Amino acid sequence: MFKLFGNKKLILLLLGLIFFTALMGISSIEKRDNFIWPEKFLKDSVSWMQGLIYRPAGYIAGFFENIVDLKVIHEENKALKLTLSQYARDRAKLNRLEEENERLMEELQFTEEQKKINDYKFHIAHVVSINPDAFNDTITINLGSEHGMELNMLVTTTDGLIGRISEVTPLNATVQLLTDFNDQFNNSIGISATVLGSEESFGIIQSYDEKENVLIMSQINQNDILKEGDVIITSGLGKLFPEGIEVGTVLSREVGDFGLTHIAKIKPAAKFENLMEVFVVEKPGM
Amino acid sequence: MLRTWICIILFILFLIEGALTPWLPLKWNEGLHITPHFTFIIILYTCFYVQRSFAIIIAFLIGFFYDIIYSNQLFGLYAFCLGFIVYFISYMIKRSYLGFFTFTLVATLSLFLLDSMIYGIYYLFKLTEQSYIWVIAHQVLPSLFVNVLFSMMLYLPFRSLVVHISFKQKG
Repeated sequence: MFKLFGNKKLILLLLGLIFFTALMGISSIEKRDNFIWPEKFLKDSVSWMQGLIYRPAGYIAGFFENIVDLKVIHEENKALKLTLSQYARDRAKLNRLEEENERLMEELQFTEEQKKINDYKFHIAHVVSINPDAFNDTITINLGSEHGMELNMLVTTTDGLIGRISEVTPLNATVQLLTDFNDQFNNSIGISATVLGSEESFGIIQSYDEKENVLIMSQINQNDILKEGDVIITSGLGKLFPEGIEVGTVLSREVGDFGLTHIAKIKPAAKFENLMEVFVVEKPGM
Repeated sequence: MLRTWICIILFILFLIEGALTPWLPLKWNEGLHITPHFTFIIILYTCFYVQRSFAIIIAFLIGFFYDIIYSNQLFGLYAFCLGFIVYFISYMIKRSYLGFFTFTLVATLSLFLLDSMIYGIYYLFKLTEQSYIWVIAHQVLPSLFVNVLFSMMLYLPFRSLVVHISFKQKG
């Protein structure tokens, strides 16, 4: 016993063990969202330097990929032209609807605030780095609180939703990808979702199944009309997140853990790899 | 002089880990996750070819750097894991100046230990639900393959750097 305490190295080791266990334990309880200035400075300067590497590397990698994909381009071009003609048609329809919407709003005497509620701003952001850690799927983007970024803003690509902002520093923000969502963890958050075209459906996207690479939408009512092949969008209920952003398509629907509600497996519309540009959706009045 | 160089190399590799490795064609299958541990390999080299105490100190510092920059769910995880494993390895293996094969073996062992330890702590804090077998198949072994390949590639350059600089200092 006496000898044990005489051993300086052992005591140091034990103290270190206790210190780190406490540190990790405390940090696991609650996620901080305000950083002290050295932290902010370090994060921003390192992210800036990583941004210098990430984009050129992406272009070079994309160049080689393009050479491989050259064969596919012709067919892709055809498909794109087809979508483009559809787009023009939709555009005309949209203009008419928008006009009508505006007219109706005037007639119903909407306030300025109510008119602007669905007027989302899309900020384009460049990805500067990807977290190498296997259990934390986060990326860093080059917009921060200086550019008006705030916690819990949704982040999308041109394909669909990829995540939400989980941390903000002055010049950069960290995006928690959908692949990192899990309802068991305290850093996670649920996004309310609905079916495109039938907005009375309701479910919460809260988890990601890493083994099957699908999102899990839970809390679906037994009588809900959601079915296989439906397109899932964010519903904007709860007013924290914007509405109408595409999440993915339903792969299957089954009875949930307790048999009271159903869950649906959703194939994400966006890809979470090789991200270059993402869009941050700013909700007015947030 | 040598220490400054090691710190510069570590910093560059740290930047590369977050910014360059996502683009490298390292993945041969969709579901795999490859965790680069390039800085850890440099620290291992430092441990066996430069100085042990210095290696342990920079392991802690780089670990804290990881924790601050990426701010994972557990603060202090990387500092603890890197520091502990470098300490443990340097405690177990007393010999310095290992040969190529011995060093690769030691690197393999400690990389496996590092990834397992990171998984173990996440599991302990209930921050992952994956089974160990699944994690080994999809994360630990693919990362191990890439990292060991990197460490083998680095053997000659690092040794020549050490010899070159210590030769310069003497003469």
